[in-house]
Amino acid sequence: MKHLISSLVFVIGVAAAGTPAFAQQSGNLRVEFQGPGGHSSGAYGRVSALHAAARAVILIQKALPARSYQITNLTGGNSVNSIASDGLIELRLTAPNAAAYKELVAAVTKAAAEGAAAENAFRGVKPGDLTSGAPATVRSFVKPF
Amino acid sequence: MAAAIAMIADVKTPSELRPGAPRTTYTVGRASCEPPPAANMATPSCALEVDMRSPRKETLDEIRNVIEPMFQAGVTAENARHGRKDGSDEAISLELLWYGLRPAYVAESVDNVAVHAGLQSGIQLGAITSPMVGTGSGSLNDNVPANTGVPTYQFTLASSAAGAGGHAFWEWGTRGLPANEVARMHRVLTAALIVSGFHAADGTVVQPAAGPIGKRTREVVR
Repeated sequence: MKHLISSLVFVIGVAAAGTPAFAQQSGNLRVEFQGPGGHSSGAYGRVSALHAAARAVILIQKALPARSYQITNLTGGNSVNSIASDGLIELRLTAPNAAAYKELVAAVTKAAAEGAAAENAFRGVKPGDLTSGAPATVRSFVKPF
Repeated sequence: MAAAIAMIADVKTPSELRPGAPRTTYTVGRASCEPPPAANMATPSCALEVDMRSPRKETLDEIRNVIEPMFQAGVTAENARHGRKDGSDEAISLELLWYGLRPAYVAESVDNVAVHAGLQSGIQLGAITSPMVGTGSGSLNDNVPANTGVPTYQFTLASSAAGAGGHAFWEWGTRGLPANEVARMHRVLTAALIVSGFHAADGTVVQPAAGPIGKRTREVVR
């Protein structure tokens, strides 16, 4: 009988925890970076989409409140001797409501753009510049998934 | 890992810092992470690969000495963000593996069998008209025998194929002119046969242009 009561209390506790006063909003974002790529040495001096992604991660960590996000992936590049032409951050956002969630998405978008801008500035390229006919800059794109 | 890459991304190489220093380059070429095993769980592991190049050992060591501590600095920064001390339970640890070493080498002389074969084959096939040896450098697998004292020679295959985007996801190329493509393969094989010697179809035996030189790479490693 004692065991039964304990079990009931546990179930009630779970039920109470599952009925919050305010509905949280959570979702996943994919932040993509694209750059010109090239051989690590032959094309040295070009921007790296992976370097830009890492810079953006640091900015995301500074801009977003702890526990509001979880970075689940950071990846990019196709070989060790290539300047990465692609970079990807995947993260999960959690906010107390829809308005706060929108603010988190805006903060991630800003951090991604600033990460790309920092990489472009480090290598001295600006929007409109071309390298071998391709855009010379790193660009960022934020998409839900 | 992001902290380490972000630190490395700000590195200036010796040739960027000192005009006249040997051209030295690096990049974090590839990175990946193991997916979290379940929602709300942390990423268990990540890996990154860094490429560093220089024609001189001194400048390669210099860039390596700048970048290598940044791996641990990235680990320490991430541990600190979560209030963990390096080496403690649940702290991130680091495994470092060096691979693909192509040792730097500077040729003191170009008067050797490899250069002779490379130039002679080019002249024979009309690919070059003067016996000039370039002063540039490259990083290829022949760095290894070169470093052990075995003569090597790198020459361009000079394809007429058009292309762009090398080593990028948008890389493309066209067919080269078939006659040119055959000619450049002809040059490579001619150079190889000059050095190695061969048995001709008429029974003639052409001896190798040089006998054994230096130790085999595996002997050096041992």
